[in-house]
Amino acid sequence: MSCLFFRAFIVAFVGAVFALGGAFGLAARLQKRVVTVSHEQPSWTKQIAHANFPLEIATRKGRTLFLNSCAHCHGEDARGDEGPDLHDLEISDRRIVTVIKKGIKGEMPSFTKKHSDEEILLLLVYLRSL
Amino acid sequence: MLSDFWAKLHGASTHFPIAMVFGACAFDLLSVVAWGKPWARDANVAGTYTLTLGALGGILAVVSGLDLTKGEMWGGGALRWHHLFVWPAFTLMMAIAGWRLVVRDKLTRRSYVIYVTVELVLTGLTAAAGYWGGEMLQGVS
Repeated sequence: MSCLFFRAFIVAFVGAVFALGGAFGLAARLQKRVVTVSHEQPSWTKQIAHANFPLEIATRKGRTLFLNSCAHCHGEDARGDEGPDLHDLEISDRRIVTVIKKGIKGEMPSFTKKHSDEEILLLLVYLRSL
Repeated sequence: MLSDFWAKLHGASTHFPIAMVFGACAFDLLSVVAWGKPWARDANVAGTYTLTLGALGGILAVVSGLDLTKGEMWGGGALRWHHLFVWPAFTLMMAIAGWRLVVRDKLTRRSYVIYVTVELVLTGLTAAAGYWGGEMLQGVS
């Protein structure tokens, strides 16, 4: 019985090492791939640079869009009103863009028809400046 | 397009191991409580295979999740919390599934109680990982 339990612990240990090691290995491989395939992760700074916008102008344009579309719920200072505080958001750029585009069921409308991709990018730049 | 596929696959594949871990824990709890009864062994066998299937499903969930985050192991905010629970849960799940497949029903009651306690920890970790996964989708900030 003790021999069986010992064998089981060895298998458990090997399984755990393979699981975690495999996850870390795959993660490292994927990260390396993302560096080489840059179009898969376009950061807003890269996109703004590509669009030939100085950052201050992009932020100002984003602020104007924010005041028109978002301020009535999130407050003029984006500190929150009916909607939440948008300062120091701890979610990814992609997630912010998705929320703006698709909205949140029962809480926030979709802005995909109201704003173009470039305008949503400017909103993102403004939100990241907060 | 491709990231949408991984997002959908991750969303679909995570629920399977979560359900299997909860199911395995329920079967094992039943079996340990009804120790000695004729159907307790059936619950034990069900617990073994449910956890094994959950562990196999967990691999798909982890692979799709890693592809979705482009290999990000930690991240920030809700994603970080999700990962803080996912990695211990995944490691523990693989470990106890391996252990269980070797031991099968040759368990003493004492070792079974210890095993179920570890399985309860795994259930808690899995639930927390699932909660923070949901927060990433439903959370407002």
